[in-house]
Amino acid sequence: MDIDTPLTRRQTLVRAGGAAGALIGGGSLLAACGSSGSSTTKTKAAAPGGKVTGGSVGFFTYALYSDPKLTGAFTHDTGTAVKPDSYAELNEMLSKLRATRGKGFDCISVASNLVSQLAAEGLIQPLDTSRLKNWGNLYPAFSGADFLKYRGQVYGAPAVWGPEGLIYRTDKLRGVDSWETLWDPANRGKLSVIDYDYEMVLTAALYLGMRSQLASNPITFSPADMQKIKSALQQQVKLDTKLWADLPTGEALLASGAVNATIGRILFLTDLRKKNIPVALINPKQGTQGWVTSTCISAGTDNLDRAYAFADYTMSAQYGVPLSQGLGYPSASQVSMQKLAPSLRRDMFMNDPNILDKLVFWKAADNPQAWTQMWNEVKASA
Amino acid sequence: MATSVAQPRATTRQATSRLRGPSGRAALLGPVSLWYAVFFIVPLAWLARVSLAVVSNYQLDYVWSLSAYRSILSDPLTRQLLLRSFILAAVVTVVTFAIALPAAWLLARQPLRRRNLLLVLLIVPWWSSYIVRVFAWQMAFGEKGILNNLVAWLGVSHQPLGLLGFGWFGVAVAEVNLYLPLMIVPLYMTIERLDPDLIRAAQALGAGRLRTFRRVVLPLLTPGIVTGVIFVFMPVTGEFIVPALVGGPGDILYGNQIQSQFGTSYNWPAGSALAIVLLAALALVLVAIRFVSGRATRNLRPV
Repeated sequence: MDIDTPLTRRQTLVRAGGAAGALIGGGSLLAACGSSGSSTTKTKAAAPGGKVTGGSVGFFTYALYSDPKLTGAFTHDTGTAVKPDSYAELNEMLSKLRATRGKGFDCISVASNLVSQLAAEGLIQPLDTSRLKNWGNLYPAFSGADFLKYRGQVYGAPAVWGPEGLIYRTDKLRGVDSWETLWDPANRGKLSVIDYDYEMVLTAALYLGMRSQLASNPITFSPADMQKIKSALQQQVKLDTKLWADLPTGEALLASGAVNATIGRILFLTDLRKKNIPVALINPKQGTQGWVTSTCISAGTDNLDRAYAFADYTMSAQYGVPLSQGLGYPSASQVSMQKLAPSLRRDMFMNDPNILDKLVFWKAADNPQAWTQMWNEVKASA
Repeated sequence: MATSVAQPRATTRQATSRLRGPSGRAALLGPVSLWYAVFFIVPLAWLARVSLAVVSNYQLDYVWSLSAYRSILSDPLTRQLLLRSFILAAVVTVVTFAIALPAAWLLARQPLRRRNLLLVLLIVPWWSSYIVRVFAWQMAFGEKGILNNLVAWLGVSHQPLGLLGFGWFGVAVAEVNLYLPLMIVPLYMTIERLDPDLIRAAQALGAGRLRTFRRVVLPLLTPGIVTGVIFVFMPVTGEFIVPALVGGPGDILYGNQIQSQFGTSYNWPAGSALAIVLLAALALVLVAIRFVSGRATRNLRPV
């Protein structure tokens, strides 16, 4: 190499750019290797009368919901392979669906607050519930739920649900029965909440006692309500040590003792008990929000019969019971729930016969953009 | 024998000459131009177009409207987060430079074999995923990380050292760790080609070490510094993953504001407008860097 001539800025940029490109390229290559594609290959045609045999069905969902232990019975009974494609969070699911307009996906797990939004965007299609033989086994709170409908038509087959209660370390806190724990200055630096605008707005609304606003569909807050919620959230995040965006992070915060209380779901309880971490998940006195994950059929599918068969399967006991036993999440099907041990049902808040009427189930927000903006302002003020 | 050597040289010259012509340049630049046109210009144009659309009833309506720009530019949060991101990027760039310069200097002065080994070691972390590196860093130096556990086990302290707690400092440290190689490599390449005689000449003419560094070395290193600054400052300004993983509750940056517009809130026009504003701001930074570097190197130009 000629050492007499200093490099010009342009030469250095070009050469260093090449080096950086090689560095970045290496990382991208690995990332690409780690990702998995999805396919909805169809090897056999659907049989007449809607009964399906063979082929495959694409299932776009959380990785936990597509475990072969849960979907194996469907493949065994129908010969149809389930091709999972996983998302880690709702925003990722939305981005992929919007980018593809649903092409390449047959069935999609959709949280109840997004069903009407995806229907309005034309990404999922209305369901003919007469084609779903397990529909009649659902709890009435789900089969009649307005949050699964858009313009009067049902768009989601409810499969699994769960409360978003208050979870805390029982060895660190005593007498916890209220969301006030998350607003208690005595817990400063030992609290955490989820970094999800929708859920935090609902938590603050419950804390503030706004039950009537939460009962509306879509959930609507007046400007004055929004201001109160914002103030409450600003107070809350100042007490947090960290916002978590994914379950493993939230669990790790509780497990490590970095955090004594957070908003949480049953899976926290299931996982942390396995590690002998003393935790309790409670339904605070102000009430609890609950999510429902439905199996929706993509507007872009050309595999409709198999998609219906699989959506129906996700409401069956074959799917619901192992899911409840493995993850601790309750099924939307009464038949599934009746097969569970009483101790497991108690962890699911099912010792309260009216729990489904008491929970504030996630439904569409009237102005999600305003909620996002407010949550960003709250974080920026912390 | 002489003919057989001369012929390939002549052939090489002819080939080089052909490549210097208009058709040769077009052939060389064609693939990269096509690549950038398809994968950069077109998406950028689409981004700009979406920034002028509106959303009504969860549908993108491709009207021509400045409402997204009016909304974000009148929003104090936009300015606040942009300023935050620029401050973080500036701090990370300065710290990265301060660490990278002596490292690159030492690296360039090593024997060739050791230098190559050190370069490979420098680059090896980049073979792993970006997110894996952040998590690994957090696991090693976080509050309940390996370092703090070791310190507690040794009985030195039962209090966490707080090297990488959740917060702004942790974000800055993680960013420095991530982008350090992108500063070292261009600096190393410039230092490697630095003529030691120029330094000796400056000192022979009476310049002290500091003066030699300031008046001779630094201007000669300017191309590498500019490259390193661009490679570090630009991506850190748009960063959103590290603050989400390592940041505290209040460590929201401009990149997080952009990202949040593309999820459940489905405000693509606002997200696109925020991205265009960031691009414009970064273009201004580039102009400023060019101006400053031009002044720093003006004495190096041939007279």
